[in-house]
Amino acid sequence: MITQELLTEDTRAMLEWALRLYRGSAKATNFLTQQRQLFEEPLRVGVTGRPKAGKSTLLDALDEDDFIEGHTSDVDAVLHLTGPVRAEDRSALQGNPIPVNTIVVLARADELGGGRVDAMSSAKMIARRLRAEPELGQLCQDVVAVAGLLAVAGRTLTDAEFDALVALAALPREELDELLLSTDRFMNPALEDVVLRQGLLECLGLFGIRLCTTLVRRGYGDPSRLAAELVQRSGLNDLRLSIRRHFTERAPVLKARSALVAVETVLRAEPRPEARGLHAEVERIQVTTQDFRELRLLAALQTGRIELPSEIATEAEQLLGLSGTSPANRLGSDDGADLLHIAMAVLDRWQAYASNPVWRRAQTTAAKTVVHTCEAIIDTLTRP
Amino acid sequence: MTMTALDVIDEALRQPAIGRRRDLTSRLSRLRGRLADPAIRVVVVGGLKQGKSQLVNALLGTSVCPVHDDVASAAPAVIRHADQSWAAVVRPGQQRLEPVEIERVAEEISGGQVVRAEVGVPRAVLSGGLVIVDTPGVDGLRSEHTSRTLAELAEADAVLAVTDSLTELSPAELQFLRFATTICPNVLGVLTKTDMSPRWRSHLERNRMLIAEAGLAIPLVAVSSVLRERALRTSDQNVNAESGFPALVGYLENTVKAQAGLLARRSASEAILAVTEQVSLGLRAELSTQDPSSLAGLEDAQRAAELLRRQSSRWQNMLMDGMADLMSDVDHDLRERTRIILRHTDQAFDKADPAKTWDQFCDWLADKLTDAVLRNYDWTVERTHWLSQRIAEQFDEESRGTLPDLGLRDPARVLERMGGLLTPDLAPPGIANKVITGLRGSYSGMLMFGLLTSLMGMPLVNFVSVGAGAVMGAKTLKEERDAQLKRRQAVAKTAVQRHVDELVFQVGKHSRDALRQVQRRLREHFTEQAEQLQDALSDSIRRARDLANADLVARNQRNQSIAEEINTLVALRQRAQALAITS
Repeated sequence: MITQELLTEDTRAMLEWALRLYRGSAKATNFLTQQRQLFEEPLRVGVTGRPKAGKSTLLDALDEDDFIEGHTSDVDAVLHLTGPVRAEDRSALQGNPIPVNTIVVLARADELGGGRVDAMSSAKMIARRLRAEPELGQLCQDVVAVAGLLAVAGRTLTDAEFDALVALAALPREELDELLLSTDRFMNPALEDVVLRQGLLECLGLFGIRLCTTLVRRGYGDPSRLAAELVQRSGLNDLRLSIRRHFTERAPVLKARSALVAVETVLRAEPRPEARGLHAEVERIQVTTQDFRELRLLAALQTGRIELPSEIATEAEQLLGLSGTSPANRLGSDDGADLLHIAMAVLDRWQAYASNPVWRRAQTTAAKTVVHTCEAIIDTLTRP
Repeated sequence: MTMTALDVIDEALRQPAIGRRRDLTSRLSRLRGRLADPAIRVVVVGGLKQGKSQLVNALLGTSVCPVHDDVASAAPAVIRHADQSWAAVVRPGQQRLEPVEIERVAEEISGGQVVRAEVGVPRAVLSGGLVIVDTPGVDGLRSEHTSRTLAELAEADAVLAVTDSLTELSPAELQFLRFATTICPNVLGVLTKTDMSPRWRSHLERNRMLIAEAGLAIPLVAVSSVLRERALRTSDQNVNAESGFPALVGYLENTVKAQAGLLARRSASEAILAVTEQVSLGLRAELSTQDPSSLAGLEDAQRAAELLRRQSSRWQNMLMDGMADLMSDVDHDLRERTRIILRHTDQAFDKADPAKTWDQFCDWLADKLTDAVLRNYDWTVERTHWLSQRIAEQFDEESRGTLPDLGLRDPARVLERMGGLLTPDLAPPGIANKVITGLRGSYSGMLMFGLLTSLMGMPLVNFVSVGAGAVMGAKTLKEERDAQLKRRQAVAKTAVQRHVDELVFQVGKHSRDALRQVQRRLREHFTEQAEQLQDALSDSIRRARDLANADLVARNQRNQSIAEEINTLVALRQRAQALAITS
């Protein structure tokens, strides 16, 4: 979208300005040069969380080059891994100056559900509840449940392991249930194939084995179908979709965010009287950038800080890019439809909302932001 | 056959020599009532989603505790033995129990509309007064759920600290264990979900090591609630053994219940020894009046009574002075602690901008204040015990009696009620505000220099006046920003000051009330001791006079029965002593 291109240009200019201003300081120049270089590079996502939260497993599962394990500085966006969301997670997420770059991942989601076969759907419901929680909603863009082990296993299942699963699934129902009651039973040294079973337990977990044998019984009889189903059930696809919507599609915004935070850091660390203009520019970009405004309004609507009639709020969230930032996604229609025509109608409607005398000021201000969004959509659609 | 504490008390109550003394029988009856209903509270605590409620359900073979993949327990559930299952809840702001169907109690607990649930179920493991308290997960040390859990912990006879065996103990969990042992010495660590964890054995070993390294003496057991539930369903002993629950039940039976029994027997033993001592004293005094030296015995008794009166005024003064000192010391201690915190706050806000650091600061402040209040409380408890020991020393060894439980209420509920620090208005000025301020400065600058330069024949708006305007605007903006910062710092300091004042007031009131209650309890106890001594003495004086006048035959008969009574009392004393030794 045009606003994103403008933002990128503004940000680049801001970085140059900062470099000129801090020419005298070697430390600041080093840092800013590095930031300028990073700004031109693709989006980098950091994976954070407590020890043993499942960071390396998730990185394996995602298999993306630009994702790194570790702390939140030097990255543009963050996947924060947690089991049940605890107070320490909330405090870890707080202190982010512009919190538009975080997705909370309920990793090891299979364990949340006690390893039952339906554990994943239960974990997905928890994710949905947390997403709607105002306090957490302010700190992140999305909450997604993922069973990392399952997702990796989906990709790396060997033929021998698949055969072992088929053999297990062929056991009489009761015998299998007894065997899968606990890891101790599954690893019973009196049984044969202990080494192979150990391998299965390592790569799938008890939940994964329960799920796989159930799936094989239901007819997922060949390795590739089973693998695809495992990836689907692991929640990895949901996470990928969320990453695309919130990170990839908004990459320029997130890059700009990193640069803004970096320049602010320098301004704070080495205050200069002559940096006042740069200060104002940083603030201007933060306040006027339509993408930041959209993200802030989106968060405000989702957390209920700004209330609109429910249907109107739903439309606003969609227009603001909740389910994707392409014009078709924002307008909620297919690519084939006459998007421009629809967009015009939507614009009219929102202009009316923006001047609705009954609405409170916060509501009409929100409507004005949506009007800007509609204008940007039309602008994108009419450009050659 | 060994006799229980209740048996020995009953036997003591049947003794005619004791039965004649109302004060002593009432003391023994009260003790009997307390021992007959010895609730042994076992509190189950742990982090979120560690399987506490499922553990309780599996232990008891019920489903009264809510088990859910999402956060389930929002209130403690108190489960005790009953012949018929029943359940009741306490709603917020109410005291009374509201009966609910037992099938619905789990739903009520997770619904969040209850403060506490009480449940009775017919289970053998709960017999003998075992009460199991399932608590909401502890998350950090400040949330509302957490303070409810800590309140339960304060009344615990034993604690089951639950953590799952999927990972090893985190530093936070270790810290919580350490905290729990300071409140209750009887802590058992329970590792749950062994069925799901391929590496639970190595985690168990590692956790044992971590606990030993931390210098804690907490035994660990590893269990699987899933296997236990299956064992109960199928009545399969092997599965039950596999679940690890026998070790847990064994701990409850052999350690928790047995120790509670030992405690009961000890207090029964002490009470009976004290009572029989007093009665024997009276009887021996009566026997001695039979001797030619009977008049001397009478004089002895009268001297003792005089001594007692003197003692009595001494301990009363001591209690009053001691308590007054204690109250003012405790108050001073709390003020001193909070004053240090306030000084740090002032130093911090002399530099930092509260608008940016407020949230971290609130956390810091809450931590520091909680710590200060709890340390103050610990110190109060210590001093109170010291004082009551000093007073007890004013009495003879045998007439001192067992010191009553002082039951100094801890300030957890006050802290809970106080709530957090209110956030004052700290919003930095918006961009519009800044623009206006800047404009105001630059306008006057431009006007001033514009007028000056216009005298030199330049237009009002020229490069000099515009430049001056810009400089003045920036200056005004900076001054305004500094003034705003100063204002925010002042507002923050005042808000903290007010909060701390309120806290000191509330906690101070609480501790004064608590200390007054302790004072009353001590006074009642020692008054009772003094009255018993007084009664015993006047009793023997009266009988000495009577006997001096009675005829010889009757006197001899009486002597016979006194000798018999003394013999039975000696036998009773032996049994009471045996009671305290048996384990």
